[in-house]
Amino acid sequence: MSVSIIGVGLHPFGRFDITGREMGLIAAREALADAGVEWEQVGFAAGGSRDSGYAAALVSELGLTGVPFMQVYNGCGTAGSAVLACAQAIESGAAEIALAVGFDKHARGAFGSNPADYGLPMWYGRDGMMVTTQFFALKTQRYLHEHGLDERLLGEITATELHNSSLNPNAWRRNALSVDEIMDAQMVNDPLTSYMFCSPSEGGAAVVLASTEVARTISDRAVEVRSLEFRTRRFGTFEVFNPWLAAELTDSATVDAASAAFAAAGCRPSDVDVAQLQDTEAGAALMHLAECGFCDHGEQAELILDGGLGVHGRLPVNTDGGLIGNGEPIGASGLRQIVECVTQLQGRAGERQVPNDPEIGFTQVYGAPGISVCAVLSR
Amino acid sequence: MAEPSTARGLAAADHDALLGARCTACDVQIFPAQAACPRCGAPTADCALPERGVLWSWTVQRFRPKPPYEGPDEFEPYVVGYVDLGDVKVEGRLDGRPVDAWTIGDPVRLELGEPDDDGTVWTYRWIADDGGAS
Repeated sequence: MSVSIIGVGLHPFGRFDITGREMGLIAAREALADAGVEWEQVGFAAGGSRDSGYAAALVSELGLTGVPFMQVYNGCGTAGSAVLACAQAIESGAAEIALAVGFDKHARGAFGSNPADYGLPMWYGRDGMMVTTQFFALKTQRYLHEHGLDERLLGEITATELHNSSLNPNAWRRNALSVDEIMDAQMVNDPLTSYMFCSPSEGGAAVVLASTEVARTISDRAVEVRSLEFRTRRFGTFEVFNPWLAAELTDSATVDAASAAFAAAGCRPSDVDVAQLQDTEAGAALMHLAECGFCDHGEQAELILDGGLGVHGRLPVNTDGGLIGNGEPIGASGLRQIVECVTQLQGRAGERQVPNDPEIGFTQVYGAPGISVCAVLSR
Repeated sequence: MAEPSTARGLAAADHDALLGARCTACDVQIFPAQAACPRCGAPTADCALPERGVLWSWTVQRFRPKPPYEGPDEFEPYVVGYVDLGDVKVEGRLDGRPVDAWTIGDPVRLELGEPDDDGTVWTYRWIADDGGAS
């Protein structure tokens, strides 16, 4: 791609006394200021939220400039889809500078979902199977069994992420926990304990993008979007809200999006210096390590143990604490990943900074009902 | 929250089995039955699914789900799993054992729930199958 990120903004994630929309506005203004551009210069915008209203309504406070503002809702892939819309608008020549913004403010507890919205019969929900956390547990349980992996790896991943979020002033979970504390916590859906899940939360995030040519004239620290790939599920994947699964299972949308992103960027997973992966719960992070190509299936222990995923480890992952440390405001979550990757590549991550001037970053979102957006970013 | 009047329920006619469907073109088997194949879009034909299978994955639901869940007022944790029936894996509630006494590979058999006032079945359970006649 010939698209770069010239500014990032983030309203901290957690629980706050302001609306989700206000958090989106704060993030958008911060991203514009970080880029050093005025709202009037923005030629295209995209954004979304699940529970906090229309992103395009932000124009009433950013300025009624007549900018085309595309509203996006795509589950956990909402923010990734907004960034993709912006990048494609720039690539097509429709705009030189674009803003992607996401925000949300969710009620406490696991999301409730209406079967009819997913084309499912009511009995599936009435009998207690329309539960996202159940799906994650069923998938993780099967994965551990098939690959002979130790449940304790789930605790190791969680401990690394909570350590990272304890160093991140914008994160929600600021208390590091030991692997034992995580393993011994209340079981929610076996084999996943309470600390291994991300919780619905609140926050906002935004990025300003520009054509790489324009970016060079505006910023001396722009981060290039080397690739950005979006895929949906194919027949035979194991997704949330499925009363049945096919006899033969197929690779997930993440595998397709990640391999396409690396191919388009002309680099390999082993080239990545810092990665932000979708960790809706620790099992998802475990599986995504392999699905994105960072190791073979079943070989995760070599990457994870002895602090391998830590900021100073072999592959720093979810350096801001990920979803486990930040919770998930659906509209903002994928943008938070990109904000963190850019912050790391620019060397601005403070106590959680990955050492030795990281050059290549990777982000991956995965969401219901089987979508993935992956990006390769580089200095 | 009544089902649409056209809904047929979960049980196969004249069988003590779940009502699935098989694609007339690519042979994929699905559950619950629907008219078009999710793989290739061709029409499907109804079929009764096998009544026995093996546990493919499981978890315990340890908190009360939000609506539309309609369980008893006193919430009791329950087990949910996928059962491998050969040509399809079907999700369902498991019963007949303590919640944490399940292992992948356990044999299970189907038990349909009580019909509603219209004679339509809307629930089923996979029961630990210890080899006895059913």
